[in-house]
Amino acid sequence: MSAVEDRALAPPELGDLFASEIRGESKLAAVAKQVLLTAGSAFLLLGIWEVLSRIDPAFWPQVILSKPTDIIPAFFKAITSGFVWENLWVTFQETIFGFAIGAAGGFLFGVLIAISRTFSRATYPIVILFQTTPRVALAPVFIAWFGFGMSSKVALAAAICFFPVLINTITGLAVVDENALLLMRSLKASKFQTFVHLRLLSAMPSIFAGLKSALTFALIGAVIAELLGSNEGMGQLIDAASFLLQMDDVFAYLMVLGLLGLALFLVVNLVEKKLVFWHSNWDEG
Amino acid sequence: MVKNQPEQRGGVLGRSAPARRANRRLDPAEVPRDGGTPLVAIEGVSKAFGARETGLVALQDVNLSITDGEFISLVGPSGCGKSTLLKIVSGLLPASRGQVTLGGERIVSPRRDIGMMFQTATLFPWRTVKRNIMLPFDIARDKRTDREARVAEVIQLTGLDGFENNYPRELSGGMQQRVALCRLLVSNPRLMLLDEPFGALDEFTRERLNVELARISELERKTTIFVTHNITEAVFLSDRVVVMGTRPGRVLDIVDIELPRPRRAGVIATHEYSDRVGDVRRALGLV
Repeated sequence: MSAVEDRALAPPELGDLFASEIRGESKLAAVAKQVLLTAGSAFLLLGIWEVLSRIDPAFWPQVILSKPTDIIPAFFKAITSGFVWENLWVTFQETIFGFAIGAAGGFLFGVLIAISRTFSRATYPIVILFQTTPRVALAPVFIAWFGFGMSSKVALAAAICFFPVLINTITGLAVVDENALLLMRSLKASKFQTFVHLRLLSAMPSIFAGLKSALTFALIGAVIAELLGSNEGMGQLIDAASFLLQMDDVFAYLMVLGLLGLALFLVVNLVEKKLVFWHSNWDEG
Repeated sequence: MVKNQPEQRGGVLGRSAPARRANRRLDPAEVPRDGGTPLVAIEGVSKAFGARETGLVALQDVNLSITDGEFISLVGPSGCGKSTLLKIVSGLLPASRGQVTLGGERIVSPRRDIGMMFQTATLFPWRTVKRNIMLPFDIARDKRTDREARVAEVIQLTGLDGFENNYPRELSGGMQQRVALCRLLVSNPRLMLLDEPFGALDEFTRERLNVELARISELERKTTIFVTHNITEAVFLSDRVVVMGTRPGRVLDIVDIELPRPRRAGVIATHEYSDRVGDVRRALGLV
């Protein structure tokens, strides 16, 4: 693949769709603008929220809406209290175990479907059928099967993770440069060698795209299962607080969950940058 | 044909049958070109795609003998079957009729002593230049101890020194094709098949790489089949230009190019060169 094609294939920078020229912006200036603009819009949003929650207490029952100025202290109270960390640890474990099981299963299944025609014919239609079913609806089933403990949450997280990894593994392994396959044939590479040296590596960017959405889905799965029936975890905390109409706490726990999700995403991103180094944008190289 | 560079006779890297190649360099009147046993023999090769009655005849009854060390170009318009012929010689595609032999052995599947190069460099982006060049060794599970030395040799030969640890995307298109050439040369194949290797490059890079290829080919003395639709490029590089036509794909004529070697860029300015280009154009029916 030539450099020119490579650049063309690289995703356009967000917001540059209508850019008429290449902007000569230094990296520092770009980062500074990014930080300032994000912080600015966040403050604007919180400001509007704060104003709305203060105009007319009768019209906006403050007990339901909650105020940013109340949520932020609640957030700091949450992250300094031990029981929030204990429950966060539970949710974290459910997410990671669910992700590990679901992603490993999706990857292995995807590889089998990609390399064996018999296996693919036997299972792929069923896989597609399952994929079109909303898997969060399985939460009550898993709770009935595995109880109120962590295992039912791990099961739901795994079930949700499975498909994005599976589909992306299959697509990644199927889409391989024709000339590269021809080259491997001309070198008399075995099927196994072609798989290890070419297919698997060229599928990596696609597999990682699947892993990234899978990790986000795993957290969603764990929290949904906790909301539906649990005695621990962030989902359970949110459920309990909203039952008591403690909306400040609910929003504080949501912020904690959001930060967990962000941290997990950044870790996968970092691993991807290290492992699939050849696929990042041209200018970063 | 003048043999005025005896120090190149042995070849620096190509150690296969230098003596026979040297023979071929003698006066063609003394040693008839197809006098020796051919290294590659293409005998009555036809290729049809689809059903026999309705199918497209890509190649019809191609016969060609190539001696050891010879540089042959296949030239013709799109659809003349030149790439199909190359794939048949490589063993990637079976012929419908006829056969191709290498050193008397029938080619039925890809072989490790036949190397290929394509229009795109087809480098693995996750491998450095050096590791890309090592790919044939990795696939052949060749654990020879002089791997590194051999890679260094071809890197030097193609002027890639200093880029060993770069990744393909850090190189220009021309540099990427040099890496692809290295990957082809590294396992010292008996036969090199080049399918429009510089077709996607700009004119300046293409000319520079052609001069390089002529130099390397004279040094390594590899039997080469070069597919192109660029007439001047074919004349510049080749000992013989095989002119092909379409519907059905077939050989129209074979033009001998007896320009002196080593071929340097200056050859292009000579009358003999333009005469041979004219011959090829006439054979193609362009004049």
